[in-house]
Amino acid sequence: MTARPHPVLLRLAVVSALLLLALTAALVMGLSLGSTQAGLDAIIKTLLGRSPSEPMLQAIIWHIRFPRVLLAALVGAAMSVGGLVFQALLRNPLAEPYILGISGGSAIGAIIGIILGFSRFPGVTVMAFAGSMCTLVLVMIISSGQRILKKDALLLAGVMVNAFCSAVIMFLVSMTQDARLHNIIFWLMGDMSMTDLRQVGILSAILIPGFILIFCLSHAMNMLLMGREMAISMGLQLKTITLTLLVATSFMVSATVSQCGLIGFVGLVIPHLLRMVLGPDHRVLVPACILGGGAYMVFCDLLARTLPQQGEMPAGVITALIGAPLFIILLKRSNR
Amino acid sequence: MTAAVDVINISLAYGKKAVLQEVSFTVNRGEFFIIIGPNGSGKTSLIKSIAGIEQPRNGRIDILGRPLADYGRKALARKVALVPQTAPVDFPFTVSETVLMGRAPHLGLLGLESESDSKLVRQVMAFTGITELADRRIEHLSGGERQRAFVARAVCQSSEIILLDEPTASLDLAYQARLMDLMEALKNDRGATIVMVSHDVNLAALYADRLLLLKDGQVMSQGRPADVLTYETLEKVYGCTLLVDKSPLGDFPRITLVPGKFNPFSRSGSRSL
Repeated sequence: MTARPHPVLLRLAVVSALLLLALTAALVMGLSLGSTQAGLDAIIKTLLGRSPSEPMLQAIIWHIRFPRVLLAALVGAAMSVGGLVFQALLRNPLAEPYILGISGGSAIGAIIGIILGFSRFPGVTVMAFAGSMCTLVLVMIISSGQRILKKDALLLAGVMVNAFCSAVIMFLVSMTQDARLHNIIFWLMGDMSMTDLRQVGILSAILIPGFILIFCLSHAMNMLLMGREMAISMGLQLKTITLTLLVATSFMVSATVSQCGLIGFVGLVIPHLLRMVLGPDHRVLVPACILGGGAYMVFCDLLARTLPQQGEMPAGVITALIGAPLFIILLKRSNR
Repeated sequence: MTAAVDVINISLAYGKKAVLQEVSFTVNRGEFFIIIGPNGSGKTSLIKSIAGIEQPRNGRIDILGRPLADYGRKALARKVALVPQTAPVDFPFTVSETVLMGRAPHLGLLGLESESDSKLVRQVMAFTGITELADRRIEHLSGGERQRAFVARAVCQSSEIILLDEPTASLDLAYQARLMDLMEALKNDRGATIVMVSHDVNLAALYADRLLLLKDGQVMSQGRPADVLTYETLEKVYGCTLLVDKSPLGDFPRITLVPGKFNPFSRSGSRSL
């Protein structure tokens, strides 16, 4: 046998290299641009660590922007992979944690955690996870038994659960006269401004093992697309794999939601675009979603903090502005 | 010699509805075994039980002399392949990617195939007549083309036992013959055991070594086609008028439907002669 690499691995390497380049570019842009303007050469010098003369710029770049772009990259990666996994599990290209109400459930759990005075990790994250599992079960129960139009039944159940979650969230926020909930609306729409390196570290400790696990199950996700019976007959441990993917993804989504609120549609936009370009093989799509989703989110967050004349807007506004119209286009196409 | 499939007294129910009741039969190694019976007689549930997809409430199934429950999923997939009756058709893989997935039980976690796997895939695609379709997507194929791709996928699994649930339903006459011939060739040349569910009693009569006739989840008859496909048995099971004679091709029973004996608009609505 020759030592030529396997074609799938070769494609994976090429795709990963290109998207890593995009992610790096987005990260550098995210570090360089912001409300504090500085000359390009000063920024490059600071990034390369050769500018002790400008402590102010150094502080802004490394203490404010650096954790923030890393957080954005992690969140974008987690949301994209989350969308990809749900789309494979439910064999529905429109499935996504946000649209199915999973993110909304996490948010309810997270808010209850905040009201009870838990710390962000592990308390709020665990509450968010509990919330996401509750909505997941709820959506499944509502949509099962609807034999006809299974796809639409699932989306409809998601929309209902999502609306209900929003109501519960507003109810909780209105009932609580709590200083801790001061910025809750902002946080709900996906705010990345309140972070530091420690929180980013905790989040990556949760997400990176999750990414590795999901990559290991990427060929199983390919088989899942062929339906229950064929997947089982090809030796797939259907129940174990499905449960592992659901729990791992929900946990990852919960961790990101408790960190920076609700960021919708990333899990729809990125997997869909990448699938259009790269084809349906999850062994390539999982790493591509991690890198591409990360780059996309860093870019959206950059827009969110540079577009307004004063202050900034939550990144979730940008992702929804791009994602919701695309969702409608996809829905129209899939019903044709 | 151990049997390929030994079904021992299995019963299965969905909720309270009994689907299979104390079904027992044996499929020998290298046999072409066809399960026939009216709609709702439990044929699909039976073949799904042999594939390990449905768990019978009572009884036991042995595969190659070992209880099915003792096999791991992957180990079972190396012994038994299945072409299901219904499969999703909206997934975006190409035909060759789909066929290659049949190799999954022989590959590692990421399903990376070797050169010999790709060679086998090309061979199987050639003799199922889908080489030209290799780069087409499953979702863009006709029902018959799709069915051939799924059969090729099951053949690539290289399992000794191949289960097929109504594989000829969406095929035209030429491809029906081709599929049945392919199964017979796998049986004769590779020693494969074929277990097939079919609606088509004439096709079953032509190809089966032995038949199992099910009705309401119970075994009505089993044995050689000439012994099972008799006028008395068929009339009792299907409840319609049939003509049973001998095929001009040889010693096979030939079943002909006698039309016009059931009139839904007649006053009594009776189906009597």
